[in-house]
Amino acid sequence: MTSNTLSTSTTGALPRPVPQRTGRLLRLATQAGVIVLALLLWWFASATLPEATMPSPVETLARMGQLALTGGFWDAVGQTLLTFAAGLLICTVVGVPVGLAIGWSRIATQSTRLVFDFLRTIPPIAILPLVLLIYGPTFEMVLVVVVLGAIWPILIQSVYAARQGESLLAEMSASFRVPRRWFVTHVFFPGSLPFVMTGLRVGTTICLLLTITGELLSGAPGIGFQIQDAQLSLDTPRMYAYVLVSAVLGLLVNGGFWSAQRYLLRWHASNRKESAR
Amino acid sequence: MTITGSKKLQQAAGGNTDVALAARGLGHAYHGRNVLSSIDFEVRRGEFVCIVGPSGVGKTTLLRCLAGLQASTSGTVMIAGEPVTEPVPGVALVFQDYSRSLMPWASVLHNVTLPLRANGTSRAAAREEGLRALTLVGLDDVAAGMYPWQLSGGMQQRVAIARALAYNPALLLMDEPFASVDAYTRADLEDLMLRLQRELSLTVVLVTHDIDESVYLSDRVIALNGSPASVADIVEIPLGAERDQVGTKSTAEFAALRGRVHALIRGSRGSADATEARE
Repeated sequence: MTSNTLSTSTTGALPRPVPQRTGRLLRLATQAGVIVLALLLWWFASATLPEATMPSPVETLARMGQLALTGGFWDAVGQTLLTFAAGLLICTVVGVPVGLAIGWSRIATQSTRLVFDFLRTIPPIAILPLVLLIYGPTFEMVLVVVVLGAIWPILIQSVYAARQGESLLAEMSASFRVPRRWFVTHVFFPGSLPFVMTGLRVGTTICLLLTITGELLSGAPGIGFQIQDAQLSLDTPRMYAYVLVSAVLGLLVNGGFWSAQRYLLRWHASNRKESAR
Repeated sequence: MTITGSKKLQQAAGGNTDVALAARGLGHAYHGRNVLSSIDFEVRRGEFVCIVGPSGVGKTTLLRCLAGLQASTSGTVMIAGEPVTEPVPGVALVFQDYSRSLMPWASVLHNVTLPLRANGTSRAAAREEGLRALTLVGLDDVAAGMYPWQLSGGMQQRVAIARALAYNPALLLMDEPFASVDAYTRADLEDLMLRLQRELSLTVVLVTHDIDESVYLSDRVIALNGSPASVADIVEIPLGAERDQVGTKSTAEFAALRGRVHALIRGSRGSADATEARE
């Protein structure tokens, strides 16, 4: 085995995994099957439940199609995406540097742990009434709720990320007299990225959920408000159409995140396609 | 900076004395418990010296003190006649754990050139030095473009050795460098180090728990003994410059030297066991 890896490494040719076409087809088929099953269940529920509690899939999708032709629909989607993106941006710009800075110092990590654990267990919805009093049902109000809810996983993961400043790579850098600035930009940041990305992934999902929840509970403009408005006007197909839209948004955001992570962490063990070992 | 640093080091070492590295009354204690006590030895320029002792005797602590990564609690380390208080220029380190000492996000070449680039060498010059160092350890341009984790363990340790060579070290410190690879690869890497040391006139201090390895590689073996550890004896290894895994290791001379080092180390292990039994 060793002689094998020796020879492949010196010629530079690594064994390439054979693409498994049949496996992929099977996976697509089972995925499609599960979707069909879910739609059938939905249809069954809509047929058996009392009228006006749940529209059928066809009715909902048709309504979604109608809505997609209106400007109000896209305004709501745009508003929700704007709040979500602004929230995620603030959480990242504040949470990552603050977390890394705290994690850099052992004392700072230990002394802040209790406060962060306390703050992150407060449900963001619990402070919603207060924020609503201050800002009213506005973009700013939802943004505050989103940031207060989503910043913790990002910040705490960044603290963990910085703890690997004590790793063997830090020792190696010290022994080769790598200047601190160079170490931070070329060794520390790339090394902390996997941890930071884990926090960002959790934070991204929380951002989207809280955006829609905040809009729904406060009446601030966006998809959440549309869901609430449809419910109040007993327009269940419209309500379900918007619920479906929020699910689609979630899928898109999550998918976008995964491809970004696959690119940024293509060197990380979780994404390695081939290895000589 | 590195180059001038190591030149200065060589000049200083060659100017008044031939000593590259010296430990004088070196001692270290963790939380009041002595691990190393009055360690004394000198390493001459162009010498291959192994420090051998059982696991847990404090070899890594000793090497960290020699590298300036850790301050000793007593005594001094002198490199090129200057006391060491932090990592000094011209001293390169190779770690046991190659997979954690190489950056997985950077190509093999970038790993090798990191110390040069960080210390101000231009991109082009660093690339040239890096490729030259990789050639010395038997890795080609294709391997240079790969990630370290695409290579086998032995190849990864070659990358770590190349990184140290590219640094143009006046002193090369190695901490159990072959302890994490299989026996066949280990033999290959041992022969690689013997060849490199001869061709580049390197000064190497290698820490190991493997007696065969220490005798096979060294001009002199420093055997550590006791708890806290101190130098039991320094054994000259007159096996000549040309050595090979089968021939050299089957000579009576090798067996005698091996036995001598073994006896020195068993002495220390015996007393360590006795201490443990009492506790």
